[in-house]
Amino acid sequence: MIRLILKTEMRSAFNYWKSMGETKVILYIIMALLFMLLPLPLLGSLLFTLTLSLKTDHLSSYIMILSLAAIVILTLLSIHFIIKDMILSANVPMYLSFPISAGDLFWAKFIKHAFLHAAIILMPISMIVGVALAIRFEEWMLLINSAVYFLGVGVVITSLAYLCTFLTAHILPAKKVSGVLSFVGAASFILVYLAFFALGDSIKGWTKRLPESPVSFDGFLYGFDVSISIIFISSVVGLAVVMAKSASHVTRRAMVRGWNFYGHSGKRMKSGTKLERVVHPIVTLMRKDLKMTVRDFKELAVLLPYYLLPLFLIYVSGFSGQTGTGTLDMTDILISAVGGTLVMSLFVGAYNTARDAEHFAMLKALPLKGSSIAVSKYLFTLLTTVPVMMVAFTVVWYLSQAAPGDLVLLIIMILLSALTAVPIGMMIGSKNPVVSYRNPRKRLDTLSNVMISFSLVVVLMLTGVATGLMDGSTGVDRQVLIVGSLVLPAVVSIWLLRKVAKRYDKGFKITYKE
Amino acid sequence: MIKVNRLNKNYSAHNAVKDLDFEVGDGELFAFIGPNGSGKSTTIRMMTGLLEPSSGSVELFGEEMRLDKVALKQRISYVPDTPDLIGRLNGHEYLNFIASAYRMEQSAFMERKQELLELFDLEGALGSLIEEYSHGMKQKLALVGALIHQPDVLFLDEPTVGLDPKSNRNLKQYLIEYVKSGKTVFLTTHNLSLAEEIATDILIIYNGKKRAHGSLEALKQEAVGATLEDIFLELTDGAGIR
Repeated sequence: MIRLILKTEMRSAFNYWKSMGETKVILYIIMALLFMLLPLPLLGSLLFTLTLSLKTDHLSSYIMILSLAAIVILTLLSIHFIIKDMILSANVPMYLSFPISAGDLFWAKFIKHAFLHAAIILMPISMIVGVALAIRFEEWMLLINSAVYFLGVGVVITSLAYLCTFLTAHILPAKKVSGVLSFVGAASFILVYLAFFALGDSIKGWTKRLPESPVSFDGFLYGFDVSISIIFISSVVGLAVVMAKSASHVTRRAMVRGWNFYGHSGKRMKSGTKLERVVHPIVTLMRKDLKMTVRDFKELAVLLPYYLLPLFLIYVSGFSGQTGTGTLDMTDILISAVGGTLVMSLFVGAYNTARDAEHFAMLKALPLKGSSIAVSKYLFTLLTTVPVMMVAFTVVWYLSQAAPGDLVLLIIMILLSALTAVPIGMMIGSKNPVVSYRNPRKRLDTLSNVMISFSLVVVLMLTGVATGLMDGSTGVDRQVLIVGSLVLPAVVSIWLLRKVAKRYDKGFKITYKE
Repeated sequence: MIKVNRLNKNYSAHNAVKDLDFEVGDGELFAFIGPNGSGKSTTIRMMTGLLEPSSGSVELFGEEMRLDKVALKQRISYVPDTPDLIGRLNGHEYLNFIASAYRMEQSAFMERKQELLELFDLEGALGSLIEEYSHGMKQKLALVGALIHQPDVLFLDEPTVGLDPKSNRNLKQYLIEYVKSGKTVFLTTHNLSLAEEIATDILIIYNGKKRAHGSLEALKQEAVGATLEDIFLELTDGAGIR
């Protein structure tokens, strides 16, 4: 029965792949090839070099950190996919309506998830680390030990993910958990990226600060010893079996009892007197947008990278240590502020506007002018982007110890950049928004994404030109140059806003996808 | 009040609505009936300005209806066959959103809200997010949202689907009273006994074309049959009957 379920799941995945359409398939193949050509060899060689070159005293800490990182990231990833596969898709009740036991279903799903979301990542890692250890200590048994160890970690990860999902299935709404995890996933992606960025600066300094590991792998993964290896392998296999059995027990129990999908917890949201007040249509539209954003972690997950952009820009503005001086140059700060605001406003404007496609018929059935909707969207995007950039760059200004006049200039520039970029984003977002039932957060079509990328390239080029001009000017000249170069586009943007309002009046050309 | 003139809608080679002509007067409860895929929803979407006709026109209150006619929309409401609500608002917030969009007076909003929530048994049930509601709850909330500003014309596309018997009955009574006050209701339904019971005027559409139009009595004279169901099946070539 387990084999039959796995075969059906494989067939279903294959059919989905076949139904995707040539463009998408080609895109995925290109992405996979790029991944195999660039980051994969890079990460592989990094792990290989570290395993070969680290001091023997540091090896246990290094393997422990590697294992913990894998456990955290892959468990989060697995929980997300388990919820998607077993709770949101509702295929568990479908399987259980046939003469299939909950146990068989659990093991089939467990094997699938363990392979797809743990083993597929951990096996290459175990091979790279194992081969490096085997070469370094001239003992090929270390390769087998490494494989057994990481396979055990994989089983622990999948079990942990099942336990987390189904132990909370009665308490927490699955949809919300999935949303929170997407948010955490997006955040951890940024953090990992920043960590790599920081690591790139000084890998030697990083390895020196490795903490002491509570577990020593001496005799098992290096300095091979038969008896220690047998004890270790038994422990790893034992732990994996206990974890998998526990996961099986909890999941089967949850399958029989059912779970909380949406969260009918009986907890009611407070509806205070403020919410009862009739307000101006523009205000009510902005309120609606705010609630749609903050009440869905997946929405936040999509926007998060753009909201963390200021942190990244602050880092590259002067904290990267590449200059080694520790001082912040005002020109760099100004350029980072403008570039960052343009990127953020462009995407957030496009995304917020495209989101209206989801309930466009309802909006249009109401007596709302296109201009009211466009203005509300404009104000909402400005209010949710400009203050973020202003606060971030005020901190940078404070640390740079620049003159108060520079802060005023910085704030004016951020505001003008946003005033300019938001309507461009809204134009892009209203061009051909997408409503995808399978992936509701996918709101922009390929052309819109290309247009955003193209706009960013243009912005970067213009920023480069501005830098060149600014290098040759000083003081008041420079301020007049910057403000002047942004006032004109800001005025033009009003014209764009009117075009967006017309699109709202005329109706969006919406693409509906499965 | 409503005037539909030679209305057509073509999707590529398919003509969803063909040369549709009819008028609906003040205080009428107009039942627009037809088999699945006969063009009912397409017509209602054109009448509410959500879909542009390929040719012909729809006039509401003597003015041509288009997507950007905000003043006209101020006087109508539309409940689609599948409630199109904003899932991440709760019921109170949704109604507040609707009232603000229609620029209602605060006191009128509170009064109407209370009355309609009682009518549909929704009191105390609106605190959760709309995406958590059952289909019936969503349908009730959509109806409350549509009725809250007392539109002159109410367009209802299959309003009784998913409603419990009590709400169904309350809605029926409410609509009868509503048209008595001079307002107009334009209703599409597959529930022929409902149409037979409450409609003042009935139009049967089949394959995008008008097959019959008039009061129930007039239709009985036009086609053979004791009930609206008999008439409907005769005029739609027994659609749905094997």
